Amino acid sequence: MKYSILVNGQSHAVEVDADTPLLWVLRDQLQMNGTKFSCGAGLCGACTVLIDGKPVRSCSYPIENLHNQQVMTIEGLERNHSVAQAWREMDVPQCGYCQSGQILSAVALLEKTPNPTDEQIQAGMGNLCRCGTYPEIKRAIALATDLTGKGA
Amino acid sequence: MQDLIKHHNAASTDIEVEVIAPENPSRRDLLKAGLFGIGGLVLGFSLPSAQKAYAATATSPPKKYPVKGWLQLTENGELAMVIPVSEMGQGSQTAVAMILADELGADYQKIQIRMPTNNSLYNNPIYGMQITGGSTAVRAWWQPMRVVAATLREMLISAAAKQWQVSTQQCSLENGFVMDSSIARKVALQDLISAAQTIQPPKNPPLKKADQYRYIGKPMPRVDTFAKTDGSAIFGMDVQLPDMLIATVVQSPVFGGKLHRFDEAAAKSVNGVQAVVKIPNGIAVVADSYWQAKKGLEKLNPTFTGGETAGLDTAVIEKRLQSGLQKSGESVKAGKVATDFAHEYDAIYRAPYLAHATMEPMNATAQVTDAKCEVWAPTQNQTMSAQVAADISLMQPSQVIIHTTYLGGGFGRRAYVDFVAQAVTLSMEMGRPVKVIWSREEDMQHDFYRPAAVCGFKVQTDAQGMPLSWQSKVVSDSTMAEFTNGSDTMIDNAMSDGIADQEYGLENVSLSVVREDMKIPVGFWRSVGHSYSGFFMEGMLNELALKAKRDPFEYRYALLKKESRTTGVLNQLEKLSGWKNSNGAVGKGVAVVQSFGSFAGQVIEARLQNNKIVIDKVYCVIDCGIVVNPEIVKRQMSSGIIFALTAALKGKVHFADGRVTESNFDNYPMLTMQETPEIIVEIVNSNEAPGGYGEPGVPPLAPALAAAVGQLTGKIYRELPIKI
Repeated sequence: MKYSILVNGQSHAVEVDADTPLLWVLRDQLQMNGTKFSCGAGLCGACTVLIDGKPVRSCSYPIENLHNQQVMTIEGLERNHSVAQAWREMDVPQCGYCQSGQILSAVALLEKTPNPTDEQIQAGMGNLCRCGTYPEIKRAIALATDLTGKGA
Repeated sequence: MQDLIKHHNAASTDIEVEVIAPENPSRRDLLKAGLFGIGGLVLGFSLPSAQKAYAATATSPPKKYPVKGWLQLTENGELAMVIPVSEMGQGSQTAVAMILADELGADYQKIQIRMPTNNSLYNNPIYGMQITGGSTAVRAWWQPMRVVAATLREMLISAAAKQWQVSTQQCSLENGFVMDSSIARKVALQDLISAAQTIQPPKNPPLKKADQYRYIGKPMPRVDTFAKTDGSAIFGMDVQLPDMLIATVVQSPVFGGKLHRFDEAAAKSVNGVQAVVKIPNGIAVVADSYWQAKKGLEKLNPTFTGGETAGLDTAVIEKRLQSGLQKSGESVKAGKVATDFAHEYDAIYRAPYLAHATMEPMNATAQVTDAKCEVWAPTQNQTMSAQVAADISLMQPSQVIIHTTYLGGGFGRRAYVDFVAQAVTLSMEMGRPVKVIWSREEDMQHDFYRPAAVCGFKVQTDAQGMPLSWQSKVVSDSTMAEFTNGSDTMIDNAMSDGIADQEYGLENVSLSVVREDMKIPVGFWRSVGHSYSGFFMEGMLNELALKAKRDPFEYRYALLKKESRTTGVLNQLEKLSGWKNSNGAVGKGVAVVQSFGSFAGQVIEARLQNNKIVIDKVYCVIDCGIVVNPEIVKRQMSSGIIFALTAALKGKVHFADGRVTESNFDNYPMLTMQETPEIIVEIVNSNEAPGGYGEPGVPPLAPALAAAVGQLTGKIYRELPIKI
């Protein structure tokens, strides 16, 4: 099947089976490797992308479900975005494999809840990290809040 | 590897790794016939003799100093340094880069980093092979890397002095430039690389003093953060080559089982599927993309028969471990058993099989041509990757190139090279580059698991409850036997590490070890034997303190020498955690473990909420000697604590019908952000030789948690994971 998808503001024509998850369209067709494969079952969040600003686990999202929505991947995040900046400032990543998903989940969280409480952070950040960078992620989200000036 | 760790400070020349040449008929033929797997590769380790001195630090530098082996020019003419360790999150690339840049005089913030290829120049000085593990990166490279850097510095200065026709005395290397102090001129390091190649390396170049360090000891930012926050970091999974195919595999779910039936036609009917290829212990589907390969594998529907673990289940395993306690085993240490004692205490401690569950599933990419065998792999073990690649491709070692990518987690799993072997096999079969990707399910069911272990203690005490003699027996499997293809009866140090070699002045300790070979693949799992023996030993100590009605800190102080490093850690931990301030609703527990050349202690504060364990705080103090990057040490403590908490609360791999029943994060869950406690870490100020820090944060967690929860419920927890 032929599809035209919008990724990071650019239109791409791809030809894949209708059940192909967005993750594998990004990785194998478009060679955009920042979005990671880990559990393949929507359990861990390593493959998180934003579809019209909402976090979606792309390993379990068939391309046929996409209808002209905007897909944003880690490659599309502005380099000076407050979340990216905060992540660098805090030196959050260890192995780094889950961090694309963590960063995009944080972007979506702060978009919806600019000044989140601890509970809101925990509820909004369901992504797993085997290295255990959770304490630094929490601090980076707080810092990103400060950087955007929306913080208390 | 644990045997090697025992000798971690021996000179590098004392450890030899030899590969026994492939036998005839050709390996390729055997491979096609499916007659050998990874088990067919023979690695012989010749260990340093036991009487070798246990020197304070690895002092044997690499013998050659080719500038290009350490410093390279990038395509843009920028300076890059090769860092001889794999980066899997532990921050060793950053720490070793800091050492190299500081001693050299390079600008750490500007210099590029290159991953190592396979080259004995980059052999881990502790192990004598190119492997990242055993928390050795900093302690192995601390001395040799400074010698390499100082040598390079003197060579670069000589090269500049020669160009300027001045004395080297008036030249220095600072901030990435060689400066001439007589007149204001300087030359950048990158412009000296080729000239320096011809300079004779100096003998005994002077090393900088601690007060001359610009980077060492400071919380410098990691070198990999930028690439890991914009999606540009290349993990094994991300390798792309022109004309590359993607494969996925199914291996016999019962370990050692044989392929029985499969529907090749059905698999090939899937769009994009190129081939179905038998591999030694399973079968692969090769396709244009991963999704097509995965769908092909579902249609292939392979079945397997037999296997070494057929019929094995968790109940059988636990019964065998328990009955192992009745065997006499091999004596590691024989102490006198007290006959005149006031009390005698018995206890049996248990720990389960565990999976590594790295976030990046196993994968590797290979391109085998007539001229060379090239591999791109997220590997902790370049030496064995190169050996397996040469063995399968029948190439000379010089024709094999291993490119190291970033590792999406390692924790010991990527010291094994089963996935490298598959990529090479498949590329040869297809005549094209092939990337093999395991599904999460395959990854979880074909791990080299942390072995289950049982420990029986019998302790005789005086009237005050202090131990007079102490007998311990550990029943488990051997990780070193797996790694080195040792015999079914081989015993290794990892099986009982930490039981009889802590700083407690327990003179009459007896320790024996019983090997129970379950035929389940077992391997190095973050902190190896300490991951369970820390729980056993410290659990028992907490139990004894409780019986003696003594504070667990006081009980330990009574056993320790005042000047011991363990005492130092406990003193600092007692203050940091406010141990004496009690709050009835909060349970507190403590444990301290020496491992990998370091000493780590932890205090846990836990509560019960709706009959569930809630952990509020973990205090941690680490003495790891001289610290290169304190922030990385703290992060590794925090990381080890969360890793160990996951295991202590949730971790258990079960077996049924000879296979692993866990398959993904729903049935083998990880700790979440919500469950993560506040973690407070302090580092002991120390001038001792550098110790490890990637693993030592793990062992104290479980026994401290068991004691904290025990205080709340009045029970003693002797089994992991902890269930209330």
